[in-house]
Amino acid sequence: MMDEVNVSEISKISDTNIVDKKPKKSKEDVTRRKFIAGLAGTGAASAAAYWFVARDSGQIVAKGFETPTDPVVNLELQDVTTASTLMPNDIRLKEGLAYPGPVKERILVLIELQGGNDGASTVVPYGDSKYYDLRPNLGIAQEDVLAIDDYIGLNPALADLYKRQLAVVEGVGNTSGSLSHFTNQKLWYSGGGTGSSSGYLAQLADCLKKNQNSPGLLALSAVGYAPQLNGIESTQLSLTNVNQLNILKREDYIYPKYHAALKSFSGGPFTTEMSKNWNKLFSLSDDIPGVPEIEKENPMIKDGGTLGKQLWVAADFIKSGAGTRVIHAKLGGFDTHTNHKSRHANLMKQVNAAVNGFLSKIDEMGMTDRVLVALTSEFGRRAKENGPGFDHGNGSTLMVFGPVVPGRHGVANKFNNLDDRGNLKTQVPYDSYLRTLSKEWLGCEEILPDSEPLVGLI
Amino acid sequence: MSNDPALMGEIKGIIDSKGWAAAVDHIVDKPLDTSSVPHKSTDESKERNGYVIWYLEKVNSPKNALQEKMTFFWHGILTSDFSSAGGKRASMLAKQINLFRSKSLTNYRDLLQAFVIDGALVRYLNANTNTLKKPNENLSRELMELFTTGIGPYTETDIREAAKAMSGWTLSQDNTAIYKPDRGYSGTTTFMGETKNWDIKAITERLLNHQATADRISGFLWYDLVGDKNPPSTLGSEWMSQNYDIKWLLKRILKDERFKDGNHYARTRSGFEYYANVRRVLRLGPEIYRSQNVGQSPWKPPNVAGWPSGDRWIDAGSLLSRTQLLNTDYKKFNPESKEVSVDDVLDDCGIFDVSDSTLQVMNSLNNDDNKFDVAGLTQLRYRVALSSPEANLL
Repeated sequence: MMDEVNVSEISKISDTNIVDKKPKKSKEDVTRRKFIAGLAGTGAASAAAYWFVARDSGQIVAKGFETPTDPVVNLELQDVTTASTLMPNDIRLKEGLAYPGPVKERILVLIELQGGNDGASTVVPYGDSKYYDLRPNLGIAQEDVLAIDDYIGLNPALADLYKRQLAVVEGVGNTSGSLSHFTNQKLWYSGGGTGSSSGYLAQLADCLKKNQNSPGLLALSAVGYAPQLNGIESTQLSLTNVNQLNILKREDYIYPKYHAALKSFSGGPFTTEMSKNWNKLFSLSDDIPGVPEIEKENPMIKDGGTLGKQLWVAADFIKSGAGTRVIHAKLGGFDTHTNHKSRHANLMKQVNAAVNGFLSKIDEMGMTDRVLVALTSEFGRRAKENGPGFDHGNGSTLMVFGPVVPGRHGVANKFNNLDDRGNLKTQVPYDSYLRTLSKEWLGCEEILPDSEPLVGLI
Repeated sequence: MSNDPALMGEIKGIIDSKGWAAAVDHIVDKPLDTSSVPHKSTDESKERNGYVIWYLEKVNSPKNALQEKMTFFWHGILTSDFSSAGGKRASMLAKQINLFRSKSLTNYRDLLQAFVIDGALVRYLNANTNTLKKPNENLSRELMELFTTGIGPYTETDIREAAKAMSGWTLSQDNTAIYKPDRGYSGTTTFMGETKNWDIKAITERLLNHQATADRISGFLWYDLVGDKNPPSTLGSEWMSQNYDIKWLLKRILKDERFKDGNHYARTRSGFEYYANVRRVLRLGPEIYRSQNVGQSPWKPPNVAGWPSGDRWIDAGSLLSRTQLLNTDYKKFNPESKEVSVDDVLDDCGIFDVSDSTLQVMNSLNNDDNKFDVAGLTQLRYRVALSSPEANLL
């Protein structure tokens, strides 16, 4: 299933040393951050500006912006990478965009688009005529696309996110050979692909604790239960409603005695686990001073669906200083075998409102340079439409928001070069994407050590 | 299971007089409750909650506890989602509840064959859009991965070929699944190595004849009742030789030494199981439906694989939401504001077998600080009992 030529090429790219091209942190960074925070919310003008700049910048252009018919991104990057060890060439520095903050303060928010998000409806390859041949009814019209260059563009519902600093990662797919939701979810999230029985985020949190002495509540699932956090050893919490912690703060009526009782159960099966969890909750409620109510009229809540509420909680946690460094959020409903058009459009609207609202809160906290939001999904969908929807597929396009190198990364999907099942090929293995997040962003070397990270994204 | 108040309420007397084996035979063999969810074909979406509440009332009635328990068990494996049966299709949900209740103790062959052509399922997994021209793989894939063998015995090609062979089903005006030959493929296909005129029934049958199906499904029931994930190695093959007889399987497990002598609190109580108990204790009426608040709302699974089991139900988030549930309706714990003794509170909460630790915690509860009166003390006892490890386990 894997395209071997591309894999080897990716490895070649990875031989170049990304660390070298990162500028040292300087006092100037602070100023720059303020500048960026000031930029947030200035709207379409600034966004359009930086896409435009990106197109004109030597570096980014070299990454494929001017070769839309054969948009091999990153693969032609080798010379450029060498060149970019000259720091001033980093588009972010040149254009005053956010640049990654100190590694030990970085936070990863992993958003799972559950059900298999159709990458080509999210980032539309509108310059690929074969895309329209295979999707005569469900293809997104060229004039509706929010163009990134003359080959790809965002789904029209992602208008707010379009204005943000974002990296598009093309050609990401699985290597399992399976089109099962659960097999692939296991690979992506539950440690199935890492040779470990614990989940990806669990391994990350444990690594941060061990290698960076990161204190506090390291991991949060705002969805409630998350297999990503299975097997975790450091402190984590799965919570759907942060307001619920308020009940643990009550000191009237029966509450002090009730709380004392909760902490004193012992000795039975599962009791150790339950006591540990109660203690964790009480210690957390002590740490978090009063929990703000959700603002129902905030677009993030009004239009962001369940994802908006989760990210609201996530923002509360980041603000609280609980020390949370890895966060999981999830939006379901992407298994669009049928009614794809309206369902997917609606989901994109929610992603747009939720993620944009979250990033705005991060901007307000002055943490633009320390929070990365990465989209994931267990697989993309079939290249060819099947009536009103799409069957399970493979290759997809994902997005990363935050202080990334904006523009196109990975290897472009090609609708005229499908595998024998009619799926877009895996050109960037899913584990390379995850490795980019864990190694390049959070500095965790030991997770997925055999996978090659994408170079030049962080 | 001995911590399942509805079930124990039904058989406690028989256990005491005739022993465990007789009690098992009694609950497994007793005639099913044949009442069905009342519905009309024009039901509006708001009635959907009503259907689930109707079922909840049944769960809490002590009459056919095993039938209701098994109904929920089957729903956890053979999932469908509420919202895909929305609007004017709400009656599909009622029909599926009736299907599970009427077949919950028959045999898995009958149950599965009826389920794969159940209207709500056909719609949930888009089998109604699976046509000759545009085969849709959704049902085909999940039939194999989730409802029968699990991953392993089949290939992606089998999924595709089976989807083709199963094409042609659609929904009638009243949302019953019907087969329309002109929509479906009628030639031969090759499925799991055999080339012939396959259809949905033959494919389901073929998968049922695979050992992995019997092992998997019987293993799920073993875990549900015994609480460990290592069933006797021959459980599946024994069940297959009994033609998937569900009553046989229940008796086999419930009379097994490992069930009888095992730990009574062997697995966590799921969100719905916890909610149903609280609802019973509080005698909440049909207007209170908060199962979603504790993470498990029937006919609203997180995905087609149903709900995960195990430790997740006692993680910090779950414990907190359970406390919140008790807080929301706390006034109903003790409507007459009287004092209820620790023993009576524990019995009322279905905690018949209490640990020393929990008993000690319960007995130490008092109102010495004068912050509340005897009614408050009773309130406190109920809340602590329902937050105890015992109340979170089965």
